[in-house]
Amino acid sequence: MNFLNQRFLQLVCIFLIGYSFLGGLLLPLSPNIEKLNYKTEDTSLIINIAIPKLNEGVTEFYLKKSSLGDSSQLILRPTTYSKIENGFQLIFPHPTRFQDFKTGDILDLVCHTETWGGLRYFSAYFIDTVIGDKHLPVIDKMIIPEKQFHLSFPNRNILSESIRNLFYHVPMWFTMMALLIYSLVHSILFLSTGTLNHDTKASISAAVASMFGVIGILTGMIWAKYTWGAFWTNDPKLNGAAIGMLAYLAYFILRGSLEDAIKKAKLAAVYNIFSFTIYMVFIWILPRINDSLHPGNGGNPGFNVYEQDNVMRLFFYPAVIGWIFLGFWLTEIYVKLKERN
Amino acid sequence: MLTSVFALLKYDFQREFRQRLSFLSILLYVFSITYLLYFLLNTQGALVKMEVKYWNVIFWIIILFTTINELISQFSKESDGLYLYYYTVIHPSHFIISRLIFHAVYAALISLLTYFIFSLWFGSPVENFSLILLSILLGSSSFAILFTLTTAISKGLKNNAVLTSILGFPLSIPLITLVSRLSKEAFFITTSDNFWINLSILIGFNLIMVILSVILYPYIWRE
Repeated sequence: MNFLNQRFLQLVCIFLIGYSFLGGLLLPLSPNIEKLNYKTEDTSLIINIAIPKLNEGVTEFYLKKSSLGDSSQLILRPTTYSKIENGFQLIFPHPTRFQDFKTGDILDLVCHTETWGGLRYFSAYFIDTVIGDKHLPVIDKMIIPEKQFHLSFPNRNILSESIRNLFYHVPMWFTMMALLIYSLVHSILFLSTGTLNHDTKASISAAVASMFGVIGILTGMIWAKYTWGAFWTNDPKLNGAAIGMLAYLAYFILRGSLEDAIKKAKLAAVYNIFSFTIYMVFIWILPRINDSLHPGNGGNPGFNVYEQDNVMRLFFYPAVIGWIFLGFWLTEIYVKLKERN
Repeated sequence: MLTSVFALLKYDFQREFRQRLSFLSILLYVFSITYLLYFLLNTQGALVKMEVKYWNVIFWIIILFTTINELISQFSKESDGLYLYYYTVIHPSHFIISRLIFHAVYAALISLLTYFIFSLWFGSPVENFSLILLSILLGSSSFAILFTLTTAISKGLKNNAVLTSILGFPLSIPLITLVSRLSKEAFFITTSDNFWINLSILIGFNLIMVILSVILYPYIWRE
């Protein structure tokens, strides 16, 4: 990794991290339906919604039956709507009066906007019993307008502003994985060549990787507190991270309890290869059997579902590359320090 | 290769049979720890009918600790002189293969006896006996394989008993989750859909550990 000593690459690394840091913190969120209350009167359903930050008109409101692949065309339009502070008041004919809806249906509230595409509030209304026998008015197929490009992050329920943590939490794990693989490669190289230089690199990159792992756990814990409600949940990925940390702490204890450099290097390299393999099997296979709360697992949508216009990616990939660079750069610095002593 | 492995295995079993003391001491360990648990869980003379979940957990924890103790005592029994002798006559991978087989069989035997002692005190909620047999054999041998390598790594160090457990515990967590999930199926007559997946993952885990031990042991053999 000697090419990392070039001043140009170091500047690129600093630029990428700074860019993702500033961009991730400063860009606004897109407007979305943030608050929704409803009031039931005998023949109508009054829904108050808040869409702060939306400074353009809404062309269409309707309630839509939520269905797999959004294939349902059961649509209910409001009779009247009026603008209130920060949002709108919509008065619908009561959905339970229509026999097209079935008991247990869930209705989403959809708003069509001019440039932001369709805003959607999932599970806005739950139908418990259908009492009426009217038919829904026939409406042409609704086409949700295309979202135009805006430099802003998606705004999701529950996640809301904390979506920015994606740029700080996820790159830590990418960096940790990259450094652990680097450490594994150097352990294998040490066993095949016997040069102590490889052992130094393996141990130092494992140490830097554990540091990134700890930061990843901490940022994840804060995120979990605000989205899942607790600092620690019994999630396969969290358990995997904790086990990995324990295994690498054991690796450092093993190194610490030995004096002879060659013997230390050999035993540590063997343990490193062994624990890395088991750890990889654990974090890549077990979360696929169990359900995880993480995006992309157990029926949860991945992050790419949230973002059709790729603004997240504009900041996420630079952040990943920048942090991986920083990890290797740190490793290089510590290796040099160790060789000088 | 097979002949040297068989010769070593034969020698190990013969020696174990002659010195029955270590086997009996492990049995005594199991017996006393089970009785201790029985004593603690037993409120006002009546045996608390344990839930299946806790039965499973306590059972596997006992098996884990027994396996560790057994391996540490086995490794500490062998003198450095004996190892020097082995070093001059046997190929290291033959040696580790025979060790893995020996410890897996030994641990499986001890775990079976543990199961009988355990069900003596706590009763056995098992419906599917062949399944619990399978999970005991697989689980205890996988613990034995894991801790064989960690004891081999920490052999000859100052505080090797502590180091063995420190090195092995983090890696045993995935194993114990898989194994307990497998043995939980034995409490019901029908097996769930995940049974075959869990079983194949556990076997795969064992194969990976055996292959790694055979590849890596020659490097630390001299130490």
